[in-house]
This record gives sequence, structure tokens and C-alpha cells, in this order.
Amino acid sequence: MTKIDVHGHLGTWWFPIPGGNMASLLRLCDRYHIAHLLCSSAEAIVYDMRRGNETLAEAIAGQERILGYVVCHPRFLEASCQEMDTYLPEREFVGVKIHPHYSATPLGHAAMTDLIDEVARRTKLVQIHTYSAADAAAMAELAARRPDVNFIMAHACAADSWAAADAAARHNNLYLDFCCSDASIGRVEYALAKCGPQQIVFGSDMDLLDPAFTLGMFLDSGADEAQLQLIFYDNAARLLGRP
Amino acid sequence: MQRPIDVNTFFGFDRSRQRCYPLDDLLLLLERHQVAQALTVCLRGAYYDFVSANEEVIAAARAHPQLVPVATIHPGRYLGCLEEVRRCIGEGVVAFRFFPDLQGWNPSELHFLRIAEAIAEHGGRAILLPGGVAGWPTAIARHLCHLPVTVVLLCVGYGLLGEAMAAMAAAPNLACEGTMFDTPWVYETLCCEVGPHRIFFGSGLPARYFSSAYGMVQHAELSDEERAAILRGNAARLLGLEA
Repeated sequence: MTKIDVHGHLGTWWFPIPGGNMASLLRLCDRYHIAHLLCSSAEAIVYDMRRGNETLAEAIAGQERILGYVVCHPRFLEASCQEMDTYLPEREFVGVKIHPHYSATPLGHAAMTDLIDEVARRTKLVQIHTYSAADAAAMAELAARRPDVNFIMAHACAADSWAAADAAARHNNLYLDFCCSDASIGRVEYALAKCGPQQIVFGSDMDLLDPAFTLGMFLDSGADEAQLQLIFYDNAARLLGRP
Repeated sequence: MQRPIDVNTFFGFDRSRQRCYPLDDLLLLLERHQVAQALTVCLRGAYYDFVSANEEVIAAARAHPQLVPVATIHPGRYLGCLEEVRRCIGEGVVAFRFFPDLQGWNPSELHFLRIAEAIAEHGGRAILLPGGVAGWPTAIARHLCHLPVTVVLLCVGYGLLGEAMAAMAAAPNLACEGTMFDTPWVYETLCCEVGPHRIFFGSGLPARYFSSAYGMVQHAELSDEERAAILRGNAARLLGLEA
């Protein structure tokens, strides 16, 4: 089944993983039938926002398969706005990525809401790293505050994915992306029952993680073909406005 | 399909998850995923009484030939631990699993090391230990490298994979298991760095999605011989199981 993967990164990590480049991402896309990968810069997330975004922009310029998120940091609002204004007009960039942990800013912090307001003026798609029930509660508040923005909850709050699903059931602008090392049985099943497949998207976290790992969660979840079609492609296509 | 031997399964009450995993659920999942044989341990031994837990898992394996009993011992009890090693080996148990992560000790402590030495002395073949805590792969390599048993590091995530590979390079009797292997080319990397004969397949059933772990092996760019060794051959050889 052809897929849109909403969660990838360009760049290296401090783990023994070969790759970290476009060739590696494209190789994984080929292996797992991924038509489009939505990607953010690892460097922009963990160290240098400007240089990372710039490197990603150069890497994906002029091609269709790898699309970009602009990484923004809440503590650097003005610089983040400049980054969005530089890259979001480019057709390869489709949204914004925010990582509360690496930017040392909890989701409920005033700097985060200020940034989200600025993001909402420029794009309707934001991917935010979420890893706890507290994150789910904060995401619910953001979703209620900005119903005009679609939020992808990266990792679906990991071991607390029940909380992410509960939040998504209350806010139809929250979307769950299940990639993470926590492959606990029941994560996907609970979300399917609680918020339905229309608010679940496929993200792999490549090439930090191998897509096979998250795909295995869906394969074992009991989701039927129609549900998988929504999860693997249709929901993301709708968010991108590219049916 | 290569029917695997799974070296990481359990049944019982998981206090950390506050969830019960009955033996029947494990058996059902093993059948669903066509697992040929599963090394399994009873969690009663991790959280409460290892003697009755070992009796339970030995009885379960006698009733269900697809199960390979794994005994466990809490070193903290001290009294009777060595006798339990002898008793279990006398009952045909060849693998012992330890839970320092759940029980609050570490693998360099003497009360554990005397049990490990007793396992080796009485003919045990495998010691299974969690490899997911920083420093433990190193300590395990240093303290157990002289024993004539294979020590399998369970649940090594990408954050400790580098330490685990260094530990395996230092201790030829050290091996690893793949429940938490979720990064691209992890199996290819391990085959290159430590050799395919030191990698075991494990899934974490019944708590984790089987296809997440299995898909990683399935999609890895390995030779047929390497894949067969990881999925089945290594465990069969180590434990004297029918190949």
C-alpha cells in the first residue's frame, strides 16, 4: 500500500545508525512504498535552527518526494518567524515542526502559545513532539485555542498514547502519529476505537527509526484495509491538500 | 516463512504496567504469529516468589511444548538462591533471566555474580539480562566474560547500542536480542560488527506488537543464512532445541 510518511528527519543522531542523508531517506522510502516523506532537520531541532532549516531546504529543493517542515523554537520567536517567512512560501515546505523537549519549552508555556499564534498566521499544519499524558493535556488546550490549525502529535505521547487518543477524540484537529520505540500492544487499537482512523496518520521517524517498526504496530492492530488506507495515505493527503 | 524462536516472552502480572498477561494470551499470540518456540518466564518470579514462579513455568512448558522454560532468581533473597539454580537445572532448565531493572540491583553486584557462577558451574547455557541501562552492558561484559555461558542482552535500544556493541567486542560470550531494535540497518550493522551468530530474535510478547520486531528482521538486508540464524538457528543451537 502506498504511504505518506508524516515524520522524518534529515541529519545524523548520536547513535550507531548509518545514513542521516537524503540517499538513506530515499532508500527507506523505496523499501516501504512511501510516496511522500514529510521531513524536518535534525540539526535544526537539536542545535542550530537556521543552519538546519537551510540545509534541509537545499536538500529538498526542486523535488516532490521529500517535503519539509520548518523547525521553529519558541524561545526564539522572531527568528522562528523569519524562518517561516523564508521557507513556507516554497512549495517543498508544508508545515512547521516544534520539539518542546529540545527547545526546553513545555507545551503550556506562554512562549509556545505565542509561537503557535505566529505559526497559525502562516500555515495550518504543525507537528509537535509529544511524549506524555501531560503533553496530551497541553495539546488539547492548544487544539481548542487554535481550531484553525491541524496538529500532528508526534509519537502519540508514547507510552501514554491513551491520553493522546482521548484528546484527539475531543478535538478533531489533533492527529496521532505512533512512531516510537514503545510498541506496546493496544496503543493503536485504543486509538482506533476512541478517535477513529480518520485522525491517525503514519509517521516513521526515519532515519532515526526504521519504518518497519511502526508498520508492525498497524499490521498487528487489526485495522482493516479501509482503515489502513486512511492511516497510510488519505488522512495525510487531506492535511496536505493533495488528494 | 521462517518460524522463529522467540527468546523474549513472559506471562503473569506486570506490576509496572499494572496489567495481567495470562499464559493463554501468550499461547494464542505465539500461535497467531507462528512462533515455533518461545523462551518464557513467569513474572511472579520478578515481583514476588521465584521458586513458585519457576515451578509454574516448568509446568507450563511440560504442558505446552512450544514453551521453553526460563527460570528467574532474585539475588536479594540470597538464602536458597544457589539451591534454586541446582533445582531448576535438575528439572531441565537451561536459561535463567534476571530483572535488576525491576528489582533495584545491578549486574556487577556480588550476590548476583555468585548465582551466575553457579549457573555456569551446573551446566546452564544462557543468562538473559536487560541491556537497556547505561553502564550495564559494560558491567556485564566485565564481570561475566569468564563464564562458559552465553549472556544475552535483552531490550537494547538505540541509545545503548553503541555500548552494547563495545561490550560484545570485549566479551565473546555476550550476545544481544532484538525486541527493541528499531533503527535502520541495525541488523546489518550488528552482523558486521559482532557477527550474525550473536544476535537472537525476541519480540516482548505478549506486551509488545510482534510484527514490529519481526518486520525489522524480515526487511533487513541480510543473507538467507544470516536471517535464519537470527530468527531461529542461534537459539536452537544455544539451547539444544530441535532445529
